[in-house]
Amino acid sequence: MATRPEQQWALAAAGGDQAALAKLLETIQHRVYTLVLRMVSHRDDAAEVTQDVLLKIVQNISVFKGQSDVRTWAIRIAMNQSISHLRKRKLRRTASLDQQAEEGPTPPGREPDPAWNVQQRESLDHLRVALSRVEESFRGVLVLRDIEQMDYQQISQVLDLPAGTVKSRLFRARLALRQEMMALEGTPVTARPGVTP
Amino acid sequence: MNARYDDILILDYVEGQLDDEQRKAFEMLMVADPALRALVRRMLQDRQALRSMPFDQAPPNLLPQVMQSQERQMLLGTQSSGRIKLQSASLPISPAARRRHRLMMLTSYGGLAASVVIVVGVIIHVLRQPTLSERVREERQLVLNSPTKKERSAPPPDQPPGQAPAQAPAQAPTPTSEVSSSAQAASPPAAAAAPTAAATMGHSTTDAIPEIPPVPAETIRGARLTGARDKRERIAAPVPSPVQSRTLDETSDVALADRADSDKDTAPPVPPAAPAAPAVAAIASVSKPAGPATEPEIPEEISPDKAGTPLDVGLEVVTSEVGLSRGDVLKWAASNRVRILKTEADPLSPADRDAAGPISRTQEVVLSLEAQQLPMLVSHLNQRQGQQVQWMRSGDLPRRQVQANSLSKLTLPATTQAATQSVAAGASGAGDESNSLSANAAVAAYVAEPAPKTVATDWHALLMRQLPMPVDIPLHDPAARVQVPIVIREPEARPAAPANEAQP
Repeated sequence: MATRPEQQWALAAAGGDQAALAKLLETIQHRVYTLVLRMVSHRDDAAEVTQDVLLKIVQNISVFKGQSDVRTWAIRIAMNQSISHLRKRKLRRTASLDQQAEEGPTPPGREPDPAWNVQQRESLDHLRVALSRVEESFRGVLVLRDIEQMDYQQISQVLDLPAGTVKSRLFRARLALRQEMMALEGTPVTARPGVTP
Repeated sequence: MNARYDDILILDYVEGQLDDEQRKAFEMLMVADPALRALVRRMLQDRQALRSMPFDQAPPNLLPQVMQSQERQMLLGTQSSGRIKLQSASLPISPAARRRHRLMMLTSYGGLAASVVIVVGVIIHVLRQPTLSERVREERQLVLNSPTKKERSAPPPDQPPGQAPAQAPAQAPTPTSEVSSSAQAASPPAAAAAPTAAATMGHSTTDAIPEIPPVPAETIRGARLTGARDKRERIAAPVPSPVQSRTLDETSDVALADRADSDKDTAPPVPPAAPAAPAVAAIASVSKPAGPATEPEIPEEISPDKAGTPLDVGLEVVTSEVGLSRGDVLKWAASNRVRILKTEADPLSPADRDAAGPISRTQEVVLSLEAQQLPMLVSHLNQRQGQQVQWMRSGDLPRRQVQANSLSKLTLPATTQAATQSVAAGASGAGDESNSLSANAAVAAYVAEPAPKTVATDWHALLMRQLPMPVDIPLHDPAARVQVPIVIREPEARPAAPANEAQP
C-alpha cells in the first residue's frame, strides 16, 4: 500500500473527488480483503466484512483530515469490523478444524510460485489453520505485524494499545502460534524454553 | 515459574531489533541453550512464513457493489445497512429458497407470538381466579342474597293468582333452618358473649356466619331465633325510624301495635283500629331492647306491604310427627302462592326451653298469605290425621316473654268470648273430634279490647266455622295479606302458660 498516492487520493476524496475515492478504494480493497481474510479465515465472510469496511471508508472519508496515514486509518476500520464480525460469528458457531476448507483453495490465477514445493504448501496450510486457532487479540497483532508489516507504533495506533503492551502481546502471540503449529505438525508442545517449571 | 531469558530480548532478536553486541550476546546464549535456539529458529520460520503468505485478491464484484450501495444510500438518504449481499459461488440462494426461508421465519415468529399470547392469557386467567377465602366469601354472600326455594317457586306478589310462577334464576342453595337451629343449639355459651345488633333486632346467630357475633342470653330473651334467611327477610321501611326499620319477625308478631302507636302518620298496612294494639305494644316493648343505631339495613324485596299484616294470633298444630307436618305446611304454602317468611326448628333458646317446659321438638313457620286463604290453610291442616289445630294468641307463641301486667290488660271481647265459650262447651260436651281443640282455643283467646267491628265475609264465616278465631281479623279486603305464625309441636311440648292467664 503505497502511502504517498493513497494519502493524496484520500485527501482529494475528502474534498469530494469521486474519482480519487474510486482510485483509493480500488487500491486498498485487496489489502483490506487480505487482512480481513486472515482475521476471519472465511472467504465469504471476508468479502462481506470488506464490503462493510469500504462502505465505512466511503461514508467517513469526508471527515478524514490527513493527520494520520490513510492506510492505518483503513486498517483500523478493517480490524474493528473483523473483530466485531468474529464476535458475532462466535455466537453462531464455533471455530472448527475446517478453517482451511472454509478459506477454500487458492483461486485460479493466484497459484503460488511453482517453486514452492509440497512441503512449503503444507507449511502454508498449517500456518493458516494455526493462525485461525490463535486467540483473536494475538491474531490481530500477528497480522498487523507480519502481514501488514506495521511497526509497533502503528500497531499501537490501530489497536489503541501502548507500545509495550503491543510488544509483549506480540511475543505471546508468536509463542501461541508456535504451539499451534507444533500441534498441527504432530509434534508435542514443548515446554517454554527458558521457563523452569 | 522463573524465566531465565527476557521475553522482550527474544522478541527483539526475532524482530531483528538488537544491535550487534546484543545480537552476539544473545547468540552466545542460544549456543548454550539448544531449546532456546530451537524456539528462536522456529519463530523466525513462522515469521518468515507469515510475511511470505501470498496476497489474496478481493472478489471482482466487490468494489462495484460497494459503489452501488453507496449510490443507493445517497439516493435514499440512509447511512446504514446498505450492504449488498455478495453472490456466493459455493452457496447460491434461489428466490424459492428465500421465500421458503421467509415463510419459515413468519411461521416461527407467528408461533412464538401465539405462545406468548396463550401464556399471558393463562396467567391472567389464573390471576383472576378468586382465592379460597374470596370464594367462600362470595358463596356466603350468594347464600345470603339468594331467595329461598319457596320464594323461587312462588310468583311475584303482583302476579295474578292463576298465573304460573316465573322461572327463578339459578341460585346457590340456602342453608336450611334446621342446620341453623342446630348450630345455635350446639353453642349456647357462644351465644351469650356480647350484645349485638342481631339480638337487638330480634335476630340471633343460628348459622355459621362469622360476621354476626354471638348474643348474650339476657339480650336474646324475647327475641326470636332466626337464620340466615331471616337476615335476608328484613323489612324495609320508608322512614329510617327505629320502629319502622324493625325486622320481619317483630313486625310479624309483635310490632303491629308498636307501629300503630309510634308511627301513626306513616300509614302502615294496619288499620288504625287494630284490636291488639295496646297489648302488642306492651309485648313489643319487652321484646325490643335495642336502639336505632343497631338496626341493620333491610332489604327491599320484602316490604311490610308484601309481608302482610301480622296477626295477633297464630295457629298451633299439635302432632306427633312434627317434621312431616312442617313439610306439609311448606308444601301447601308452595302450592298456594304463600310466602314463607320464616321456617325454623325448635325456636326456643336453651333458657326459654327451660322456662317453657319439656319441649322436645317444636318448629315454627311464619306464612304470609291472603286473608281468604286462611280457611284453606285451616282446612288443609285439619285434613291430616292425628293432627290437632288450634288458635294460639301471640303471647303463647314460643319465645314471647309477656309480662303479667301487660297481659292483665287483655280481655276477651264479648262476641269472641261467646263464640269461643260456646265452641269450648260443645267440644267438651260432645267430644267432637273436629272441635277437640276448642278448649285450647278458649285458653288462647286473649285479645285486646276494644274489639273492632269486622265486616263479615264469606271467608271469615267459613274460617269461624272451621276453627273459631279468638280475635276478629280487622281486614275488610279478602285479598289483604296477613302474617300467620304456625307453631308445630309435639303433644308434650306445649309450653306452660302462666297461671293468671290460663283462663279468661
